[in-house]
Amino acid sequence: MYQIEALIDLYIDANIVLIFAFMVWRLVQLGLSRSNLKRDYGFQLNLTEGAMIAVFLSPVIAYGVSALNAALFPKVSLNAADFAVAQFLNGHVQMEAQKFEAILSFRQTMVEALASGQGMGAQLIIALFSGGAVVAVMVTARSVFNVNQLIRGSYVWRRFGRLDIRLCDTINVPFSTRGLRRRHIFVPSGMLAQPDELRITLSHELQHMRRNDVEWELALTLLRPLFFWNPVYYLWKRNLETLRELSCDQAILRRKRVTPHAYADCLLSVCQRSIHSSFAENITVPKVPFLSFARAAGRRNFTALHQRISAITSQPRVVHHRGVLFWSAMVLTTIAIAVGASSVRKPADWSQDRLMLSTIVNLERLETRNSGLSLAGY
Amino acid sequence: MRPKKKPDLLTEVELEFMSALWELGDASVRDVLMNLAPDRNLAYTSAATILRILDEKGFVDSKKSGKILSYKPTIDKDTYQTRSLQNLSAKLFDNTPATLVARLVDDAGLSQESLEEIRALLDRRLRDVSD
Repeated sequence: MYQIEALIDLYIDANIVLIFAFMVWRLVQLGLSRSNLKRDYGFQLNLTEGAMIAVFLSPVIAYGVSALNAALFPKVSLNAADFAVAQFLNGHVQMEAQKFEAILSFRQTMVEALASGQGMGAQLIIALFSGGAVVAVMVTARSVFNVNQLIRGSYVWRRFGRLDIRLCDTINVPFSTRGLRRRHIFVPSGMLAQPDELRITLSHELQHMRRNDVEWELALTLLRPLFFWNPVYYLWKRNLETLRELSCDQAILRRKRVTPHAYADCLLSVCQRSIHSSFAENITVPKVPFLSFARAAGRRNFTALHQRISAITSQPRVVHHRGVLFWSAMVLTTIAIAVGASSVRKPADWSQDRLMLSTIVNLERLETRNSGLSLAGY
Repeated sequence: MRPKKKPDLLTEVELEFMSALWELGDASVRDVLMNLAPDRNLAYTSAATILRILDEKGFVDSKKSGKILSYKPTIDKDTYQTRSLQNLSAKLFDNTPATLVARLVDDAGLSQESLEEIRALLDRRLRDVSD
């Protein structure tokens, strides 16, 4: 039972940290959008991936931050619940102690109910989560199956080490994906007859390969069964996809082997063909497409395509000490996420403030009981 | 692993290559390239890839003589035309060839000469059926 409770606790922590980290990241993004780094999508992408890694490592970092805090400032607690109790004891929260304690222990009560599986509410939540997770696992498994189907329906054009460039008749938009052992770039076979487009497309997809974008996509797809219900997961993933494409476009244009005009032309041309996207393109595969968010249909997608074209035609400003700025932003973001992760951790033991709160609650209960007895005439 | 299912129809570029091969009979990559439309700006390696895929799909047979690979169609143009029309009829005209022909006669801006030719074809076909 305790193990189940610990797992549920860990899961709740992971979701809270994810939401908190996303908010921190949005704040950092807001700061960057007002600086010279506004159009430096490579910088922003690295920072986003760094923040995601920080979320993944947050239990370890949070443990380290809590230990460091306990050693340096033994009287200052990073725990959000401890902070709330301190505020209550200082009289900043006007509420009955029993009610306040009930709010504080709401999470523990919920975890215990879920672990025991008793009560209609708990059973409904368990059923919804299990159902959602099973569907998400099935969708993920299906996408792995689809990768194999696509490989079977395509033809190897070139092979470099563990990378295959494949030609496929049933797609209109090129994309990259990977299987267990090999990475694959799928190119519409008709594109062989468009050498300029083919060159631009391949350099784009190879840039994704260099940056390990396919592996990132795969890792995030595998996390879907865990965070399927959390809107922040989808929001952050979509933001990452946008940055990934913008950064990739920028990296290719920086090499100056292709003009922004030719690049934008190629993008629009592929986009035009994607209007008639085939079944093979609409199936779920953990893929990094040439046009991941620039599908022609829909207002939001039009805006995204517009954003990509305008990013292509305007290069970023030169920023001095870019490396120093990146690591400063990364360290600050990681610290913020770590502090957030420490604040949601369950306190290891009862603090003095908590003992005090518990005493007040007991006194309140005693008083209620005594007043009840006196009313009854004893 | 199960063998790859071979497609029945050609892509647009493949059809250009097959048209060249139907005309040439037996040809090397360079011969096919020379026979394509002049505005078709295609690298030798891309053309070789397209022919290799046609070979894998079973539309052509390859034969090596010395250092040169030559390709020969395994399906003739008439057979492919029939297959392509059957596919069009099934997919777009609910398997009713009469609708396909009606659409063709209605909209294609056919000349008097072409219409006479179609009539002659139909008459011949009907005679063959009644015999």
